[in-house]
Amino acid sequence: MAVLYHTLIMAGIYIILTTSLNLVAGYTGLFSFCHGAFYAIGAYAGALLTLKLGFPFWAEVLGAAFIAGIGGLAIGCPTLRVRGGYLALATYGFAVIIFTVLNNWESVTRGPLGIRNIPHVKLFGMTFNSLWSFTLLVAFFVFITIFCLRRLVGSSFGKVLLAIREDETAALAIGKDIARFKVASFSIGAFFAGIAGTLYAHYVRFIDPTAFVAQESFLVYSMVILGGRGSMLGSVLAALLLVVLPEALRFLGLPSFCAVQLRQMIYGALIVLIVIYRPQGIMGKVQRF
Amino acid sequence: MNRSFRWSGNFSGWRDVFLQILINSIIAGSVYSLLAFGFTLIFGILSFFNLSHGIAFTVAAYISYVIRIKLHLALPVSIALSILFTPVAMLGVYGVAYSPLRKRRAPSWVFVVASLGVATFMEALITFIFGSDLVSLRTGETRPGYLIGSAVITEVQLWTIGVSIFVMVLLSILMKETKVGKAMRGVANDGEMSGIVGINIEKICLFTFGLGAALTAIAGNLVSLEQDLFPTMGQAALLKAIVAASIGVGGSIPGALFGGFLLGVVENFGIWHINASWKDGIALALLILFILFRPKFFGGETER
Repeated sequence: MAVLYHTLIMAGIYIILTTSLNLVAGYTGLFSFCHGAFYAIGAYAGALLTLKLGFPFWAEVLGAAFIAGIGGLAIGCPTLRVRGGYLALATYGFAVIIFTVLNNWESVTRGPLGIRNIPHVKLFGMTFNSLWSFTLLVAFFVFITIFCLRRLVGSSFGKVLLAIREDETAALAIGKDIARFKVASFSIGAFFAGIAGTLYAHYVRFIDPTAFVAQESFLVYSMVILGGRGSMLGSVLAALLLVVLPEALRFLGLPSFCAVQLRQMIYGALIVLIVIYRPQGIMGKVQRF
Repeated sequence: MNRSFRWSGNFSGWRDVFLQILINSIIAGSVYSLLAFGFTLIFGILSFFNLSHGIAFTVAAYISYVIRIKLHLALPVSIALSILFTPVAMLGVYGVAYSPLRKRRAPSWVFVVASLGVATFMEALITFIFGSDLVSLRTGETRPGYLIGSAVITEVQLWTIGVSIFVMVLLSILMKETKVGKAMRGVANDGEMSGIVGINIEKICLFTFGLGAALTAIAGNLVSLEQDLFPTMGQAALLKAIVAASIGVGGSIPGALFGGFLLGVVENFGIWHINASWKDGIALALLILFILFRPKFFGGETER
């Protein structure tokens, strides 16, 4: 049962990450290889707000998400002047810089030692210290995230994002300030990644920089591509698939070292196969390629 | 990649430290230039932002390891075979993963995603085969380095600088004087036009991809003579290649040299006063500064 709850919790956290990155990478069509950095900012900000400043949980989640959102603004404003591969690179650069800062700014983040003893979530007088209660909490945030993002992409704001992806010049020509829309989608994506980070910090109760290496960003990005750019359901399915897969491999009785490498190989091969044979992803509708 | 400067207490003043850091920068710079030129060739001619570029570096090092340590062949043989086999392996990857995309004329971001998949797959495969522990190519004792003033340079490091200069000279002859070099520059300049005048673009692409892998293999061999191997070593190489290639003007040898050496200098002087673990952060901060102040050049205002 514990394995099931653990899988569900991790799947929930990745669903939040993937759907929020889908707003940036799927709907707006921007390369973003720094979603893991926002996730890390959320986790550290959440942990520090509760440990150092004694914030209650609801204030902590909002605070951490806002700080991650500001991180999104900080990387969004300068780098959205570049396109394609260079945007991929600049965002990846941001992810590496955040990792370096977490690893070296020892007076605040305790560097490689990480932050220990993050308390259980307390809300409305209840303590979420059992796996099933935490699963419910994560499920609540998953629903909030998907609800907000769906409302967002269904609105005129979402239509502009799609227009930017399909034809930037045309979107500009009808008078849309595309830079502002891009930065907005970036910070909204970062905001939700921050929520995922806080949940992760409270779930494992010990965070160190190695949990947020740049590979994390690649993983989430490939979940978006796998699910289909611009499909929230696709993102949910892809996140579920890629989280459940390694747990399933564990039941095959492989030694854990082999299982990890096998999982990575399957990720890599899946991405290549998807872009070759089904470029629109599991649920994507966009046939333009 | 981490030729971090170590304080040994023998230096009499900042001049000596300066000299040592300068030497370290030149060594790092010559490796970075090789990596950057390979990357920039593939980017210029195939319009392919190749995230699997670092894999060639790792593959080369491990091929050398197998030949040298497992098969007990001599060092020159292992290096030569590694530089030969790495492009073959990478062209195999090209055939499986990238050729179908080129045939479909997929947009360039699709290649970025595909190369991400390739890099993930290959890295896991190498870890699966060789394990994640460090392995070493070095056999026997390390010889003491030469002294220049009070700064130290090892024989391998002298080789590194010499080989890089030699390769760069060869490359400029290739690009300027030979038919294939001219064709490559033609495709980089205007692919459609080159096709019309009868250049076989697909062949040039294959050649470029192989050449890029070979250059990376040379860098990989030079680095692995001094440092231990591990399956994710290519990530650092990719990072340096991209940063150096982006700083230098894309596609040209002087550009790659400028980018490589500037990165080497900034990195090594940057950690003079702060902890060496900030090195990657410094490299990327340099890149982001370049992106901020020269947006035109990164496709900010003109479509690439």
